[in-house]
Amino acid sequence: MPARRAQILVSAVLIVGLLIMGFLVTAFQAHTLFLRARSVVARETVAAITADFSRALAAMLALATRNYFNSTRFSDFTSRFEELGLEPGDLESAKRVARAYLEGWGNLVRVVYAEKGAQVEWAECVADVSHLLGRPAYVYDLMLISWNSTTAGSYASAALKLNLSSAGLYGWKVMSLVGLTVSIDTYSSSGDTVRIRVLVDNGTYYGNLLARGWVEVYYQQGGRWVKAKVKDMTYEGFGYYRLTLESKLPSGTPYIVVASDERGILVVAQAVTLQQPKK
Amino acid sequence: MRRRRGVARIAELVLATSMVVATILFVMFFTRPIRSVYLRETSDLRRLAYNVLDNLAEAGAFERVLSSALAGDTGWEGRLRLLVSSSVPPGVLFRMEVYSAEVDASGRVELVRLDRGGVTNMDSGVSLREAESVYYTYVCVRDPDSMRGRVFYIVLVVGYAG
Repeated sequence: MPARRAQILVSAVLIVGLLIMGFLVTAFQAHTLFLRARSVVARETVAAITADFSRALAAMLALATRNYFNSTRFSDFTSRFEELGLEPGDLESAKRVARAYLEGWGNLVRVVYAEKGAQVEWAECVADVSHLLGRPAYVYDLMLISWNSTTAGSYASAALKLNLSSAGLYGWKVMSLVGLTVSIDTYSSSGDTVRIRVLVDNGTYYGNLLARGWVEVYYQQGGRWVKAKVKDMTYEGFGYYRLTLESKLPSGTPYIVVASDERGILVVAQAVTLQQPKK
Repeated sequence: MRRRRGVARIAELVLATSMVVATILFVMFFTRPIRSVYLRETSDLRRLAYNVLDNLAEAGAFERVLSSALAGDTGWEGRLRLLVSSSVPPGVLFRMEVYSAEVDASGRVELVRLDRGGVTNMDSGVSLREAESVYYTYVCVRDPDSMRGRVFYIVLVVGYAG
């Protein structure tokens, strides 16, 4: 008799266990379906907004560097921002314009993605670029322009915070660092050859300088900068380029390499040609 | 005593049936394609739309085409239609709207529509059976300099004919 009672008890426990398992599977299935349906929308929307934020940051860094280098030459670009307070050659005014521009961009994203309940905020953040420049350097005031040395760079850094309330996504935060780094390889450069290395953003090798960017070399002569004619440019891989000049640079003379990527970000690196031993 | 035995038999029977049914349900659930037809089609269309827009952005196509739109060239819609047509699979219909976005000093956003409905491969009167629309903001970063920093808002609708 007790044996039968135990059998019934075991059966009942097993049935209840099965029911609970069935319920859990159904709940898990429903949750997975919800996540699958939701994550697709959120994932692609977030990726599109994040990529556009990086583009906006790059456009403002391009504006700042072009304005700082030569606003007259790039007036097609810089003149459109003068009514917002951009002053030729002034980095601080370019930063003010960039902040206003990014605020405006945030407003646009809120309007465009309103039906997804987009809440967008951006904030300045500190980015360590010491590993790119080879010396202690931080981007803490939206932008850093560190030019006129053998390793030079232009950087902008900001954090994007995003909620998509209708998709159930809260607290997305990503830090964006855009920039360009140019190093002159003085050991491998000679009178008519300049070897440089170009890296984008956080140290990615840049292989599009020939096709999409540009580079110029200037040397000092009589107190002014004279443009050297680049006869040939070869990409050697890993971000290295070899520039062959039409004529030799005078020995012991400072020269600058001005490079731009396809986003318009400029960098000016500077070195001195080797002193020829006197005969 | 016999009644008790009968109850135990019924419980065993229910248990055995439940186990068989549960096994069949598990097998059916895990051998089925993971996504249902509806989810597969809409998510694929959405992904396709974003891929098309990302590829055009990566190639710098928006700067080149939209600079001529701002310069008053009327043929830009045909060029953009050709670019999008070559990026979508055969049988997929699309319609694209392009807006120029301006933000004034007070932060108010103004959208000005640039196209006249010509960036599409759909004949008039054709309705979409299943469609997906994506929104895209694009800050110009490529050449020419006159385009850098300009912002556009693009709506792309892709779908199948009904």
